[in-house]
Amino acid sequence: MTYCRQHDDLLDDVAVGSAPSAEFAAHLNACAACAAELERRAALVARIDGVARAWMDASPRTEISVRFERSHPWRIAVVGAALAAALAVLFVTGYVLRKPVSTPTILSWQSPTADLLRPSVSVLDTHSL
Amino acid sequence: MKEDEYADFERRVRENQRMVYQIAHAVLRNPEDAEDVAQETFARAHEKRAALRDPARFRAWVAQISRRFALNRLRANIRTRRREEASTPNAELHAVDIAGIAEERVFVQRVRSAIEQLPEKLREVMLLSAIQDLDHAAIAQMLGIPEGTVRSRLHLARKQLLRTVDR
Repeated sequence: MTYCRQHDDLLDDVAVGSAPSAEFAAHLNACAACAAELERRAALVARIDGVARAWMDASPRTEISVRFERSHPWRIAVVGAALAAALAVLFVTGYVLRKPVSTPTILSWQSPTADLLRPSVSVLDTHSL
Repeated sequence: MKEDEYADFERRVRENQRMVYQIAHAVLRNPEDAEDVAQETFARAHEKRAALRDPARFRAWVAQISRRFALNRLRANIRTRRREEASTPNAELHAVDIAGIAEERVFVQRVRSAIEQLPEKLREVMLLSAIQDLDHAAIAQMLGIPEGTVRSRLHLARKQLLRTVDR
């Protein structure tokens, strides 16, 4: 049984949900082939819709995390005080345990010619000997 | 932010997370990316919550954020894919053994492929309308188009799918 090819577009429109015009509705009532074709296409549309729905009927595999940082003022105060105390302890410990500053070696260094400059013995005295 | 405000926000996340995920999935068609986008959506909503004057619009608001983020990611994915395809010519990306797949799975694959081939505007409306919780009004609001346009695009999309799948 072959449906009326000239109604192809109208059959598609009605299959996807449009209301048929009075004229086309009358044709569908009179033509068993077109009515059967419409039924077949409407079933196919339902199947297609089902695939799309199933495709979109997805859920995230895990619950979306909503653990956002909570900035309560009292928490900020507690954390701030703890940090300040820790810094103070570090500072005091560092001060107490600091190493004494050793005398730099450079201060004990002497020029090799330093003795020549020191007038330990007078030139005149040497001649007098 | 007070404790009860946090509880309220968390409740809203729980109520809307599935919808937000599905919108992202409709745009991206990839579960991993959709999850990331859903997470980013609520993080942004939390960050910008002061901008939402009418709490009753929370649902529509996060739906719009989700779609925007998903579109951004889609564009980034397309750019990445183009670069990869350019570096690996003749790559066989969708090697599927059709012979071994049952008839129903072949049909599902055919429909999905037909949906992928729809023009973007039609595909988006088709997939968003397949989400159970979204009616035409919500889709129209999200896309910023009249409800009548949603209906006409959906009609065209389904008609085109019917023709592609049937012939």
